[in-house]
Amino acid sequence: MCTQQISDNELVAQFIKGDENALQKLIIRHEKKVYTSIYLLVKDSDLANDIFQDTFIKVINTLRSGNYNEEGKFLSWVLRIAHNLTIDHFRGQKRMPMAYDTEEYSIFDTLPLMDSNVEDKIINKQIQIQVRQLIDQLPFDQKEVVIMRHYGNMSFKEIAEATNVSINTSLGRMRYAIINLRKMIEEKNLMLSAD
Amino acid sequence: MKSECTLNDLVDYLYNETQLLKTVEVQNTIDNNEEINEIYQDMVAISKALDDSLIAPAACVRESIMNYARLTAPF
Repeated sequence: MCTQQISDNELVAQFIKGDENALQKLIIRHEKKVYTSIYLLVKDSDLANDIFQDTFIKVINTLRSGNYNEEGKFLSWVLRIAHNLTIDHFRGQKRMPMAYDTEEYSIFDTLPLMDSNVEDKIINKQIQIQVRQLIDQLPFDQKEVVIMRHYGNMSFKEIAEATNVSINTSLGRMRYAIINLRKMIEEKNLMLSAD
Repeated sequence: MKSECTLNDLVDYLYNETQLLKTVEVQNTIDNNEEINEIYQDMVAISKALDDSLIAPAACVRESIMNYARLTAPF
């Protein structure tokens, strides 16, 4: 497990000076949150990979052009880029995707190496898929705030500004998202862990 | 003193966005009100489930990004 001894700001500064390893560290540090955020909206792994790539290409170009001025909120900034690219894609398509793709990737793709048994791995994988599907069933504004707050580490104030609502509204959307997720978990009788 | 802890307060508290006095108030409510505590524990479990549902992009994508960075590096 990688400890975060170097801040995002320091890695950004190193990359701007020409250290490409710093960029790699930033990507590795944040890729899961960025990719999951995109995937939850587009529901297609190939498309999510494309938008993820486009996001970081934009990140690279903006950092090198000297236009980065986020004062320590690197992940929030990257998430906003990813979010905007995703919305641009939907505008081009003129519709939102209705269903996930089959999520066909190896059970061991994203699970850490540890001494749990195969059955636990399979169960955990199923839980991951089910949780993502539950998030997908949320109304778009609730799904959006879950992605921005939980994965994007944006404050409710920042979310409110980004989505043109009051802080209370963004808080309320998150509240309803959690209530709805809780309700769906109860209705489907889901266990949230393999224990 | 009667504590007024709303669900919005619990959400704020869950994400560490409460001010100091409100933090203390919410914590006291969680500690002393069984119903609120149960709701809060559900929120914590959901928060953990959201964390556990993270997925990574394809490995080749990161390589493509790094290739782009190398190829377009300024002299």
